[in-house]
Amino acid sequence: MTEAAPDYAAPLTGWRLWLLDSDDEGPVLTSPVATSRWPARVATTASCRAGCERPPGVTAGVVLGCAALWGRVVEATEGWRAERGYPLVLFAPTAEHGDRFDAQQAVLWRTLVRRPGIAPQPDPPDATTLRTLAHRYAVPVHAVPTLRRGHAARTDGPATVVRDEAARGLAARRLGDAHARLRFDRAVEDLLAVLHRRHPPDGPPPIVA
Amino acid sequence: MRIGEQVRVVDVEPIVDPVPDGDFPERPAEVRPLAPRPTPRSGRAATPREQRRLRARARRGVTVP
Repeated sequence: MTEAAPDYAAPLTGWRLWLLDSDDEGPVLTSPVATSRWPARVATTASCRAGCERPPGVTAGVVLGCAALWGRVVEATEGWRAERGYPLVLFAPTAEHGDRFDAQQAVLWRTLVRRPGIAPQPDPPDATTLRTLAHRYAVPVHAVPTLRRGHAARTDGPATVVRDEAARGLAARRLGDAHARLRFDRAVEDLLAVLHRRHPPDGPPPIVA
Repeated sequence: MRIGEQVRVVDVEPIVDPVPDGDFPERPAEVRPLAPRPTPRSGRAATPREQRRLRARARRGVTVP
C-alpha cells in the first residue's frame, strides 16, 4: 500500500453562492465568478478556466447554500477550494417576499457578481423554478427573503449549525435515518426563523423535504 | 475568487457519496426495508416435545391460543 490514508472520511462543508442560470432541462447552478456550471446529480470537478466555453448570460437570481467539498481540499484564510463539490441544501431569495427584493438584490448582485456578459438586474426565481431546481439537483431548496446586512449577526449561529449538520448527518440521512433528517430539518428551521423574523420556528415546509 | 493565504491541504474521501445518485428528493436513498426483529417464540417451529404436548392438549380439549 503506497497511498496515504485520507484525512477525513466525511465531506467538508461550506457556505457559498451560485447564480441561477437555465438550460433546456431547467434551472442550473453556476459560479458567480467563473464560467463553470454545477451539473445536477454529478459532482462538480475543479478544472482550469482557460478555454472554458462561456455559458449563456441568462440568469434568474442568486442562490445561497451549503456545498459538500471533497477530494483534494485547500483550506485558506478566507475560504476553501476543493477538487469536487456538490450542493447539500439551497436557500433562494424569491419574489414572494416583499418589495425590498429589487433594490437589495441589486446591491448583492453588484457586490458579488463580477462576471461580464450577464444581465445586470436578475429576475427573482419563482416557486416553480425552485421546485424544478430541487427535483433536478435532488437537494432541499428553501425560499427565503432577501438577505440584508442586519441578518449577518443573527444568522451566524444558526447558519453554522446548518453547515455542520449538513455534513455530519449526511451518511445517516442518505441511509434513511429519520433522526438525522429531523436534526437537519430543525437546524434549517431555526435559520429560516431568523431570516423570516419568526420565533418560535413555524416556517413553511421546504420545497423538497 | 480570492480565498486568502493557503493554510493547509487535506485529502477528503467521503464514505458516502454526497451526490444523490439515482434516488429522488421525495424519499431517501434506497435501502432494504428492515426485517422484523425475531422474538423468542415467534416464527419458530415447535419442537417434538412441544408437538407432543400440543397433541395431548388437543385430545383433552384444551384450546391453545
